[in-house]
Amino acid sequence: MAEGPSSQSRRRLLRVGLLGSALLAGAAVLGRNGSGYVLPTGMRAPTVLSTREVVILAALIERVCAVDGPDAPSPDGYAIAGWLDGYVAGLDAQVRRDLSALFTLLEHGSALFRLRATRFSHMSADEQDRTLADWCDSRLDVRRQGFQALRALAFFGYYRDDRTFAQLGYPGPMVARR
Amino acid sequence: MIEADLCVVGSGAGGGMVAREAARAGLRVVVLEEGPAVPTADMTQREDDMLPKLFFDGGGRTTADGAINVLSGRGLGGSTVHNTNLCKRAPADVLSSWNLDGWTARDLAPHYEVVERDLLVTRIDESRINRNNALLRLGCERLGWRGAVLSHNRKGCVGSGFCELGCSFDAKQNAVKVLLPDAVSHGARIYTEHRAEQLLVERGRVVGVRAVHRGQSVEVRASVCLSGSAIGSALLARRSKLPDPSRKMGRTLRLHPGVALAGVFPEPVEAFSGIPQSYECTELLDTSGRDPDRRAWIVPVFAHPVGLASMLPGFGAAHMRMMRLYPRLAVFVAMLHDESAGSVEADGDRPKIHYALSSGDQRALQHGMRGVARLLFAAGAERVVVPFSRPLELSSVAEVDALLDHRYRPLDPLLTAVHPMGTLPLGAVVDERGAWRGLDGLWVADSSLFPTSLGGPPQLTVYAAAHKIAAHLVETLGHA
Repeated sequence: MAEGPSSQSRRRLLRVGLLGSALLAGAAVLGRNGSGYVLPTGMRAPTVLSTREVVILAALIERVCAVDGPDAPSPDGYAIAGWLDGYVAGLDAQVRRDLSALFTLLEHGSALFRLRATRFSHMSADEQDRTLADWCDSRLDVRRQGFQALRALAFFGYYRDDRTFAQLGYPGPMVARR
Repeated sequence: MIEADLCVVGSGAGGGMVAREAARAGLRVVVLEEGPAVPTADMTQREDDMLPKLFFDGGGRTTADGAINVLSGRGLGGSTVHNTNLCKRAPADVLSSWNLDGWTARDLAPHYEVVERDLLVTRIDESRINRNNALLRLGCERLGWRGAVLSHNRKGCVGSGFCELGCSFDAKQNAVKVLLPDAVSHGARIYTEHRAEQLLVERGRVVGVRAVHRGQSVEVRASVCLSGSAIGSALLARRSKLPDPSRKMGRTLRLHPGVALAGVFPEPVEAFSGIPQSYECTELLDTSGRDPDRRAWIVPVFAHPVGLASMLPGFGAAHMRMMRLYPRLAVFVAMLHDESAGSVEADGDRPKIHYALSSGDQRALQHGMRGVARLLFAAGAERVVVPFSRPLELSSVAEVDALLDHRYRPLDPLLTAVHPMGTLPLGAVVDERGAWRGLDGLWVADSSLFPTSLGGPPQLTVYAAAHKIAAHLVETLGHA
C-alpha cells in the first residue's frame, strides 16, 4: 500500500498552489476597481458580499442555471444572490475569503487568461458561457476547482427553491418547515 | 474548569460508544461536541436548512486541491445523524491485512454482536428496496455479478428517503438515540458547541482539553479519548503537536473516493423516495489485494436536488436538461477501496486535507466507472452520464471501454468522499489497545484508527472498535 502522495503529486500540488496564489493575487489587483456595479432598484443591500460580488454572482447564476426551455422558471440571479449572501455569512471566514477571490478572478479572468478587458458581468450570455466552459475544462487545476466551487454555490441557491421542484418532478419534503 | 475521569472529544459512533461504556463503568465522563444538537423536530428535509446544520462548511468541504468533496458531519451524533445507516462488518481479509493482535474478524465478532444487538441491526426487508436499488440488483443478476441486500439500523422507518438530511421520524438507531442518552443516564455530561482546541500535556501525560465555547475558553481536566473523526481527531492531534514516533500522525488518510454515474431509464425510478441504499454490488471488489484493478464497492446513491445537481456534470441548459430527467435517473457510485494516502494538516483552526490518487487507484477507479456503466446498461438504461469535466454521455454498452482510456486529473471526474479514515492508525500512532504511543492518558476511538481503507461502510466497525477500546480504557482508568 502507498504510504504518501507520490513526489509527482506533491510537485503538482505545489504548482497548483503557486499558480493559484499568483492568479488570485493578480485578480486582487484587477479587482480594486469596484466602480460600475449597481444593484437593481429595491434590492436590499447585502450583508457579507459586496455589491460588486452580488452583481458577479447574479450573472454567474443566470448562466450556470440557465433553463432549457420556456416552461422552466428562469433563475432570478439577484434574488438568488441575495439569499446566498445570507448563506455565505454562515461560512467560515477563510472560505468566504476564497470565494471573494474567486469572484474577482471570474470577473477579471479574461484579462489574465485571454488578454481581453471585458468583465464577466458585462459579457454577452454566449461569451459568459464560453468563459465558463473554459473554466470547467481548463488545463489549470485551479480554474477547474474554482468553477466547481462557483457552480456548487449557484446550484445551491437555485435548486433549494421550491419553485424549481415542480419542473424536476420532485415532490419536495414530506414534512412542513417547522 | 470541568473535572472528570474521561473527556471524549466527539459524539458520533466512536465517541458515543466510548462515552456510554465508560459512564456505565462508573467513570465521570464529559463529552465535548463542536457542533450543535439538532433535535428531530428541526429535521426539515430541506437541503438549505440541513446541509449547513449537519455538515462542515455546509457540505462544501473539499481536499486542498478542490478535487474531492469530503462530506464531514458535525453536531451531536456526528455522521450517524446523516449517514444512510448501512451496517456491514469489515471484510475478514481487510482485518487480517492489518496484522494486529486482537483485530481479526474473530476477535472483533463479540464487539460487532453487541453493536448489532444494541442498534437493532437487521437485514433490510425485500419490500423496502426502492427502484434505484432494485435496478442495481437487476444489473447484477443480468451480468451474473455478485451482489447482496444490505443490513441497517433503523426502526420505524417510513421510507421518506431523506436519511442524508437527518431523520424527521427518529427512526435511526444511532449514537444520538441509543448511546448518548444511555451515557447521560449513567452520569455523563455532554457539552455541545464546545470546540476542542488543544490537548493539555504535562510530563508525558494528557491531562485535559482546552476548548472554546462561544468565544470563551473552557478547560476540562481529564484523560482524553479522541473521537472527532479521522479529520477532526488528526487536526486536534496536530494542533497539539503530540509526540509521534511512528511519523504517521495525520499522514495516512483514506477516503473511499467515489464517482457517481447516472443512467437515464425509460420508466420512472424516483430514486429520491424510499431507503436510499439497500443493495450492494461486490463483483469488482477484491479485498484480498490479489487484483489491484478490482477495488470498487458499488452501491446506489441518490440525492435531493442540490446534491444531484452537483453530482451531474456541466452547467447551463445542457445541465438543466439532465436535471429535468430527475425522476427517471438511477445513480450508482463506485467507491474506491483506496490505497492512496492523504494527509490532514492544521491550517490555523481548519483542516487542510491533501489527497492525490495514486496511479493504481486511478486505474481501479476507471474499472469501477466502467463497471457502473455496465450495470446501468444491463439494468435497462437508455444512456449513461459520466461526470467528466467535459460531460460524456454513453449511448450503449459498446462504448463503456472508452472509460478505461480517460486520463484522470483532479475534478475530472467529479469525486465525492464520505468515509475519511486512517489518520491515526492502529499499530503505528496508537497501540492495539487504542492508546497513544508515547503519551499516557490518551486514546483514539473513531475511523482514524483503521490502518487501511475498509472497502465498505465503516460505521459498524467504528462502533465495534470503540466498544473494544472502551473496555481497555475503562480497565486502565478504573485501575488508576
